[in-house]
Amino acid sequence: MSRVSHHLLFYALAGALGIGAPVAIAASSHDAATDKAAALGEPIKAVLTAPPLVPPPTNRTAPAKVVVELEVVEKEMPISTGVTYNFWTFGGTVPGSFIRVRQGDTVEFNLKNAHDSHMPHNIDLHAVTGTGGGAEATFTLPGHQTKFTFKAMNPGLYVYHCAMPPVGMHIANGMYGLILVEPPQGLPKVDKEYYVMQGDFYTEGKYGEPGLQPFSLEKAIDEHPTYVLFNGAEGSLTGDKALSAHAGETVRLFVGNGGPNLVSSFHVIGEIFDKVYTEGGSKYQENVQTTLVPAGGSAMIEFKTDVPGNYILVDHSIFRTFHKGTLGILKVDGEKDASVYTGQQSSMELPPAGKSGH
Amino acid sequence: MLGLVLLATSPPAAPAATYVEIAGGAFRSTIRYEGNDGNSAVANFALMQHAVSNREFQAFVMQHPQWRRDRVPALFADSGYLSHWQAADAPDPLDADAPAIHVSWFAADAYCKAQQARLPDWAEWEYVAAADPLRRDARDDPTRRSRLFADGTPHAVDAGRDAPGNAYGIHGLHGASWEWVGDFSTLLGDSDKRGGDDGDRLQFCGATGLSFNNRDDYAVLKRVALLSAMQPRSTLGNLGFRCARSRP
Repeated sequence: MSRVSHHLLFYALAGALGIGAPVAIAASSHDAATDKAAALGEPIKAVLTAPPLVPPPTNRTAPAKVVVELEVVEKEMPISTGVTYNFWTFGGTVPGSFIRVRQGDTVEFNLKNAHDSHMPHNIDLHAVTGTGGGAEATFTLPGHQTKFTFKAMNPGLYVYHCAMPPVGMHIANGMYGLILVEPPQGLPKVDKEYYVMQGDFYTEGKYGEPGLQPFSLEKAIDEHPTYVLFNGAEGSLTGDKALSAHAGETVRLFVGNGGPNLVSSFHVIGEIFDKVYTEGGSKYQENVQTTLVPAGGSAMIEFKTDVPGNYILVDHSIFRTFHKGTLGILKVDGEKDASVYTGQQSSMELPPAGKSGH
Repeated sequence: MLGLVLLATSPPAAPAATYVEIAGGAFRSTIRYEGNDGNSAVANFALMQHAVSNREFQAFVMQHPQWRRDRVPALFADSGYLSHWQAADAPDPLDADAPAIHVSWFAADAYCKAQQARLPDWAEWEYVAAADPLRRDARDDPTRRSRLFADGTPHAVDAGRDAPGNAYGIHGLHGASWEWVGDFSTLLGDSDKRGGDDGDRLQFCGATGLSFNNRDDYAVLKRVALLSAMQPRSTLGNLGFRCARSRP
C-alpha cells in the first residue's frame, strides 16, 4: 500500500502558517548512520533530566552514538496556586527533559507519543542540521513512535520544540526544552548546574483565576500573556523548590526561552553574571547584569556566589515578575563576608526638614 | 452452555441507526484546496445522528468476521484496531454505547458500505459541524470557537452523553473523538499525484496546496492536521466515525 497524499496536507498547513514546510516524510527505515555507528562503539543511552536538573557532563574525549528517548505526554498540571492547565509536554514536564550530548555525536532520536495524547506531535531541535530540524521525521501519531538520526555538528545550547500545526498553540502549551551540545573539550567545571526556561502562557481566565484554565487564542495572537513563568508554573523555583548553592560555589544556569511570544530580559537580583555565553553560542561576554534571551533561544550563564542570600531570578521586564509570575529563587547559604556585602549597617532618621539654615 | 453459544453466534441487537436529512447549501469552508477558494455547494445528504457505537460496530464485526481484530489483515488495520474491546468480537459492556474508536479508515469505509452508506466527505462534515445547538453556522462566535480547541479530548463540548444536538439535530460532532471523513486522504487531489521526496511535493503544494480562509480557526486546523497524519490503516483511541448517505 502506498502512502497517500494526505501528508501534503500537513505541508500545506505548515505553509499556510508561514512555517518552513518540511520536504519529505522519511518513509525509508534504512538507517544511513548504521555503518558509521560501528566506529562509535556501543550506543550510549542519553540521561534525561526534568527541570531544574541538568544531566552530568558527558566527560567523553571522543564522539559516540547516543540514543535519546523522549515521550510526548499531554497532562493537566498546576500553573499557579489553585490554577491548572492542560499542558502538552516533552517528557511530562515544562520545559521538557534536558538533553546533553557532545559535538560530533551521532544522535539517534526516538520520539514517542503517548497513547492518550489527543493529536500527533513532532519535534524540531535547533541543534539539528537538516530539514525541519527533525520535525518531518518525527511526525508521530498518538500511540506511535518515530526515529531519526542526526550528527550534532555545532556546539551550543539549543531550544527544541514541537512544530505540529498549529505550532504556536503547541509551544504555548509547553512543548519546548533545551538540548546542550558540549564542545569537544566540555564546558568548564562548575559546582552547580541548573536548567531554567521561561515561557509565556495564555489562559481565558485572568491571572490567578482558579480552576482548569483553557488556552486563549485571542490573547496569544495579541501577545498578552496571562502568565510569564520560569519552568512552567508559578512557584516552580521558590520555597522548597528554590535553586541552591553554597557561598563560594560556581553556578551555571542553562537558560532558555520557549516563548511563544515574549523575549526575556533575564536578570538575577543581587548577582552579576561573570560570563554569559550570549544566545547559547560559543563566545562569552563578561560582567553582565541582564541578558536578553530571545524566544526560541538561550543563554549560558556562569557566576560565583560570593555571599549568602536569596538571589531572585526575574525577567527584568519587571511587571511580569510582579503580575505574571516570572520569579525564581537561588538560595545561597554559607558564611557572610562583610568585605563583600555588609547588609544594613544603620538606619536612622534624617535631621528635621524645614527650618534649616540653607 | 446453550446460552453461551447463542451469545456467541447471534449478533447483538443494534437498532437501526438514525439518519438526519441535511439540506445542502452554499458553504465557505475554512480550508482551501485544489484551486478552490473555499466556496462550495454542499448537496443534500443524510448523516447519522450519532457516531457509530461499539455496539453497532460489534454487529458489523459479527456479520463480517473478516473485520475481527484477530482476522483483519495488517494492510487494513494497525495493531491498535479494536484494542479497547474485551474480546475480538465484543466491546466492554460499559463501553457499548460509546463511539467506536480504534477503527481504521478501511474498516469505517467497509462498515458504511455494509449499511448502504458511505463516509461523509470533509465538506459535508465541516458543513454540519459548523453548527452549534442554535445556529447552523456558529463559526464566527469566538467563544464557541475556543471551546472547540478541546475537540478530541474529554473536555470537548460534545463529550458528555447528554450534550445537546446541534441545529441540525446531529450529536457528538465535537466530541471526545475525532471522526474519519471519506476523502481525508484526497483533499489535495488524487493520491497518485504524490510527488517524490525530492521537492515535487513542495511544487505540488505550491501549485494547488491547501490553505486557510480563516487562520484563527484552530479547531479545524487541529482536526485537519490530525487527519493529515493518518494512514488509512491507522487507528487511534480518539478517532471514530459516522456514515452518510447521498440523496438524489
